[in-house]
Amino acid sequence: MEIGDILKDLERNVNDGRSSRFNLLEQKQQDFAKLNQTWISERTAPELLPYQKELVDSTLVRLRDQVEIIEINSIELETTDADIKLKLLIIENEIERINFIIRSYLRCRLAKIDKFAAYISYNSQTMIDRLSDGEIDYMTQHMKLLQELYSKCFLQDLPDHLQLLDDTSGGISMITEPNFDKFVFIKVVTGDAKPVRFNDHEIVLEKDDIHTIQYKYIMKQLQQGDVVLI
Amino acid sequence: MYGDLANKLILEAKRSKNLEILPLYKEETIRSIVKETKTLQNQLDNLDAGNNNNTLESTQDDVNKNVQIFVNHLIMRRNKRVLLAYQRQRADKLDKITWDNVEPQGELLENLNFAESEYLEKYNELVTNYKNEIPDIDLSGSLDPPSDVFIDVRVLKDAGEIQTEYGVFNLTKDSQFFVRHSDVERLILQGYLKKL
Repeated sequence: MEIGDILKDLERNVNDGRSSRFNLLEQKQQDFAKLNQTWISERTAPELLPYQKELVDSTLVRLRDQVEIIEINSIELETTDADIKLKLLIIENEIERINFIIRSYLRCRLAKIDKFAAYISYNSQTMIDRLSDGEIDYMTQHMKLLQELYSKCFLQDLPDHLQLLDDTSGGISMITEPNFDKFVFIKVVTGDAKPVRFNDHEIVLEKDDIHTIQYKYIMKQLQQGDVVLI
Repeated sequence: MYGDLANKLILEAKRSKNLEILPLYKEETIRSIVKETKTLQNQLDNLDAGNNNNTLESTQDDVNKNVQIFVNHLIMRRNKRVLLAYQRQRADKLDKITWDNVEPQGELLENLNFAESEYLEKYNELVTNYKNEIPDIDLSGSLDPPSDVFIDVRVLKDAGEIQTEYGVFNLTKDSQFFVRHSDVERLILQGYLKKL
């Protein structure tokens, strides 16, 4: 987003003070970094993470602005100089990338929702709160569709006690749970992260340290934002 | 032997995992597995009824019976898991077709059973609804990171004219163009164009 935003500011030639413009720019840069991190975390974490609604929404608004700039400028493309073509190309490249990150982020979430639908919906409200409204709809509907499909194809003909789809008896649970034992790469980003303790081990987390560790031991520090997934 | 049919079905599922198209729905095998499961259930019911007669004495007979009950339960559960796994794998393939935005046609539709065609249709609707909430982003676009905004493409099949912001292209077979990637992504997926 950065380059596109700088250009956007140039284009508009806003008359407000220098400092406020700088702040806005910084804000956008931070948002972009955050979006990037959110995407990486979602892709690496074994479980579904809370949906970053505000971040996605504000990015979408900015994307729309960018598309507008392109549309306005490409109309008079023939008459203007080559400089603007280059600018437009850069903006377009930037749009493509942001598009890709958001698309990949949302699709990755949907894949996890499909996989852990039973776990999410039977578990507790805290898991459901991590979903966006659209995602909740998607999950419940998709589960319903699958259930209908199973029923019609064979499930309704099986003996009663075999008809459940969330059976946990008999040694094998039907509810797929995220693999919290998965090893993840983390980077410590703050100076006051609490050390990780497990099985008589203690790992001190110093700023800029990089560790490979099982997800379940680092969940707390992740939530507090002391470490990030990489 | 009990469980053999289920084994056959799960191997079929494994085989079709890497196939481009979805093979024919194994209606008959599935019916037979359901029937087998029902037979096992009947056996169980009979065994249970027999058990009630002499609950106090624990003879070799009882041990045999208990083992049989246990084994029956195992096979029935396994049958169910296999059926679910088979169906889920097919459903996942249908999901993928929906996301790839390929118009389902011909052989594929013939290979589905009725419930599956229904599922495909409804899932399509569901995905469209979800996509409409975020109209700015083409959610079914490529999941590979973008590299170049403009790419060279060669036309494999006549596709008529397409309109882009940079003008009109007449896509006749074997011609080559330098176009914006996002404009022609759909056509590449559909096999009209080839990226060079």
